[in-house]
Amino acid sequence: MNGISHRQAIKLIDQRLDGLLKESQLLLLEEHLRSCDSCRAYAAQMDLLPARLQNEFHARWDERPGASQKIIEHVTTKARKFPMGKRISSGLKLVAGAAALVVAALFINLVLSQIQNVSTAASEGVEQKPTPEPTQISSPDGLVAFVSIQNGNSEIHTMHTDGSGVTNLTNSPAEDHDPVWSPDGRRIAFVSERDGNENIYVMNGDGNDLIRLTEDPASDMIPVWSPDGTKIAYTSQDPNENISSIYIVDSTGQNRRRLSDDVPGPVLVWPEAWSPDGQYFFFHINRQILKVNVSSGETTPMTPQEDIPSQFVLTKDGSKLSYLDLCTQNPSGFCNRVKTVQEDGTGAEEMATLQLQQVCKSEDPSSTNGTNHYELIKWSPDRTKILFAFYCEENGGLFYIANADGSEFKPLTDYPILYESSGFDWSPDSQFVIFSSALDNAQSDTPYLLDIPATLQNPSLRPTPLNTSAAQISFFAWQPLP
Amino acid sequence: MDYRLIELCRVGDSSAIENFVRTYQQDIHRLALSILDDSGEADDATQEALLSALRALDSFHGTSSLKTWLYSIAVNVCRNRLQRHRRQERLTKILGDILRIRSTPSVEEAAIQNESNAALWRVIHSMNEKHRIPVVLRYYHDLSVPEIASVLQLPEGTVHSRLNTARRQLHDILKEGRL
Repeated sequence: MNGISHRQAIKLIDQRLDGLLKESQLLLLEEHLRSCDSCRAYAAQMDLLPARLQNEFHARWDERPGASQKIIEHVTTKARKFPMGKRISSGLKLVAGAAALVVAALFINLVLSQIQNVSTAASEGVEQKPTPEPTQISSPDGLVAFVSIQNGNSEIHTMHTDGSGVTNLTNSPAEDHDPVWSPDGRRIAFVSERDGNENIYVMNGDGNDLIRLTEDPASDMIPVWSPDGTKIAYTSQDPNENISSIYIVDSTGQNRRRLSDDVPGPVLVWPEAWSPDGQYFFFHINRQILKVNVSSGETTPMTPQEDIPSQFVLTKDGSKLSYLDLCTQNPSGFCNRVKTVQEDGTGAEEMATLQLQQVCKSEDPSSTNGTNHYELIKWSPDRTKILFAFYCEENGGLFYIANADGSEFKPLTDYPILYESSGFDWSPDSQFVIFSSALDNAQSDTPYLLDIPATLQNPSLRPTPLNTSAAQISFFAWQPLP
Repeated sequence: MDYRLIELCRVGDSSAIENFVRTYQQDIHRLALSILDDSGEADDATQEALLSALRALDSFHGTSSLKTWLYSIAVNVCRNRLQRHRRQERLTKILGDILRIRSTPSVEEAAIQNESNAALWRVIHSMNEKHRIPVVLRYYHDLSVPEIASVLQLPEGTVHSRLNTARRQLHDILKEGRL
């Protein structure tokens, strides 16, 4: 046997497959292979791989149809306008620059004249009044956390609600997603795969003070803060065993314990799942909503056996639970009734039936056979409205809105919103919704703000695009007001 | 490299843009198909990648080949699409399982169900994206390690290491006689 070890030989075999060997290394390897059966066998097996892979890939893809002819037409039409867009943008920048100079000159002039006036007033002995605050034409308060995907890697960012001040909070090569603000708006719980599988982490709103809350091999997801911010409930799913349960952990990472039995398949929790006093947690398991006493572990079924409840929300005072019920006459579809039940699980009452057949022309979005479907449903934080995002094949995404009890179900806008499953969130004051879309030929996943009361008055009102440096934005979480 | 064509595209010349698209669309489509494994998705990704490239032509300085630069843009478009799909599929699956509704099979699941059930493909398909894409670039698009490094904007050593990991995984299964 010559001078290189088995380990070195294996390394050289691997390098050879990528054409990275120098002539001298190749000679050393060949010499080693002549006298080493195991390395020769390894090399022979590895040499087979490229041909097998090439055969598999060519068999799989070569016969597939090539690029659609429509691509040339679409790309040419759109790309022709790019230089014009650049010129307009440069022109606007020039105009904006000139305007800024004029404004600056006027401002300096104004300040100088104010100084003159003040000095004149002072000299005349007139009482000085404080200068009034300038009128703020501002975006809504707070930050918005969101996921931005760059090069296939998702990171959690925050930005102001006008799109400025984009900050990457996670900066990790692994996936980071599902940001959720603590009720006081200071901390963010999120899911990260940085330690190999999905675990729950908490960080400050600026990305500092990172704490890992869970360390198990299961997939820990959907963190939900308790109202006082001291605890986090989450679902834990073991993909191998295909069982799930709900866990609770202090937001410091202490006192992790299970709240529910293990059940086959997933369990689901929704954002507003804690009672206001933090004593009870509500979750969805085996086609039932259950209430669990967080201290004793005692569970109470909340919904009648015959119902198939879906998403739910508690009233602000915790006295009632509203939920969407899958109609029994339509067992293969999504819910289309809004029902309420008392906090002790009694007195289930139907509030309204949603007229889903009006949403898509081609097919009911509650059908599971086609491509039309519900995307997302969220009650407003003040619990006065429900916003529905649908997807219809013929015209893309649509927002529908209803009162919290399901009444007055209607389209929010009179144009398709081109919503793309990227999530939306209400502002804490329930006045705005943030979502991403590609309206008006904007880059895909541009964030927009929609003024809900104004849009209810005028369904033609267009949302405001946010000018932001982040790309591929989705899954928004609006910071609660302190 | 046709610098004249690039210049004309930059100023919005329709026939140059059409020529550019005709020249590169099949290569980009083939790349997108090999990552997304769905013809419709590959069409959308090709369109998105070509538009992104034409929009960003000012930033192409000719330090790499135009094809490598285009591949780099297209790979990013495809990875972002995969990422978005995975998130949507996960949420849909959770909701679907709970309500016992039938969820539409994912692009990749559908491909597996409808077409090749080959064991080799199943192993490739189950690979992490960071290992699968270099394998596809190396053995379907015949790119060298330096070219893959340029497309994925990674050090060559990292590309080699990812290819190695993928090959070892396949080798182990080959050795066990499962392929």
